[in-house]
Amino acid sequence: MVSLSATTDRWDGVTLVTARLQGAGVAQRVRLANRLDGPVWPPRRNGVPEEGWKEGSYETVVPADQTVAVGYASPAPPTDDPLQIAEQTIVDQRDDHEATTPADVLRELGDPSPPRDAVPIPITEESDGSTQADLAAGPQGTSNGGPPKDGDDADRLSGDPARDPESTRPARAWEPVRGVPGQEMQAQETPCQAPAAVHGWLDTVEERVETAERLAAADTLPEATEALRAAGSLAQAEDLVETLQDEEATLEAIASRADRLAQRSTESDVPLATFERLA
Amino acid sequence: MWRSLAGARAADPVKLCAVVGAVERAYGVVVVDCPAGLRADAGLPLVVASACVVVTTPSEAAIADAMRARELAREFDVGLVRVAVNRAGSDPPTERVADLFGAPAVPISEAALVEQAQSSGQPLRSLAPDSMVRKRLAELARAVQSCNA
Repeated sequence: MVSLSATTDRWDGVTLVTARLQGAGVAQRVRLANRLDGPVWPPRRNGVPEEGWKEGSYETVVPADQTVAVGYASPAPPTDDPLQIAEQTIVDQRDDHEATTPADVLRELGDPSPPRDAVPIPITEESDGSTQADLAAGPQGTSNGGPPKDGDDADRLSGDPARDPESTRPARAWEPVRGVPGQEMQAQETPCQAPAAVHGWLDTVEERVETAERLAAADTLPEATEALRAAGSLAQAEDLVETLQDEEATLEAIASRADRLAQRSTESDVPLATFERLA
Repeated sequence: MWRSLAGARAADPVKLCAVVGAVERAYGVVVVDCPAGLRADAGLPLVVASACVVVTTPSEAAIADAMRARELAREFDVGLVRVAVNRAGSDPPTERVADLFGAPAVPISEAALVEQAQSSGQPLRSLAPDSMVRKRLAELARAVQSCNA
């Protein structure tokens, strides 16, 4: 048996009715009837009453052991009993409307996680007391006072672990850092020997990201003025944002492809010993 | 965990719904502060919400964004209890906001008192019990609590 609780609120000459239908044990189709001494003003979207409202009554399905909220307005004065259940019948089949799952929401609305490159690299201290540069120039990332110098950038992916300031980075250039089951952060550094053209493009993108981060971090008018001056002009800042939006998609696509290739490379097991014997 | 970029990236936003359910079973009432925007971090709490309060400021841009949030809540069939107009100033457009959103609007003025309460870590009921802003926030809380009655 579905239970109904309703309250009224008088606001500016209008009675607002708020009701809750609590399901019990089995899904039921319920029709509610207004008991206020006046017309029903149902909720509307683009001028059309919401689904379920018809001639002063409201029909809905209350799933088993779930709560359905209902609300409407009326010019009539409030009473203690504004609504009643006029009819309720057990629903034989499951309502054909599939409940929205969290995964559906993530799929439809998009992942809110910050992009990979926005996550700052933690600073670690080497055994000789030197510290590795923090390569992320975001507001949370730098503790050594600024972005890496040009020399550091050029060496970043050089493959030389001794000079490579990315020793705290995950193993591969595109190693995911997200804590999702199935993905793990690699603790050890693997030198990246990408072609110079790749380095150059990444360095250029990173400069744009650093500029965007400085603009985003500006909290006061002087900071905003300075950040905008560093970016060039408002028009250039707008171009920057547009370019970064395109590059973000490209970076994600490259990262995804690189992950797949790395996985395939790891899984491919070439039987060299066998080929040697056959040769 | 959420208060750093690394934490935000490491978290699994889908699990928020289960977490809210667990907190509700333990404590009965859960209030979730949703971020602005229309991504899943704004939408996921709506999957499990019984009702919502939309917060805006009087500026046109903020109202336009808040309208989009209101539409998102509608998509998830989440009722709008009130619209809180923050930093409302001396002449808040309460009536216009109520017309636009289809729900009563509650102006929250006296921003300095609220900031003082936040920075000192004191509730308004201790810092300024007779202030108008405290009365308005209490009114907002009663409206939200009535949804759980």
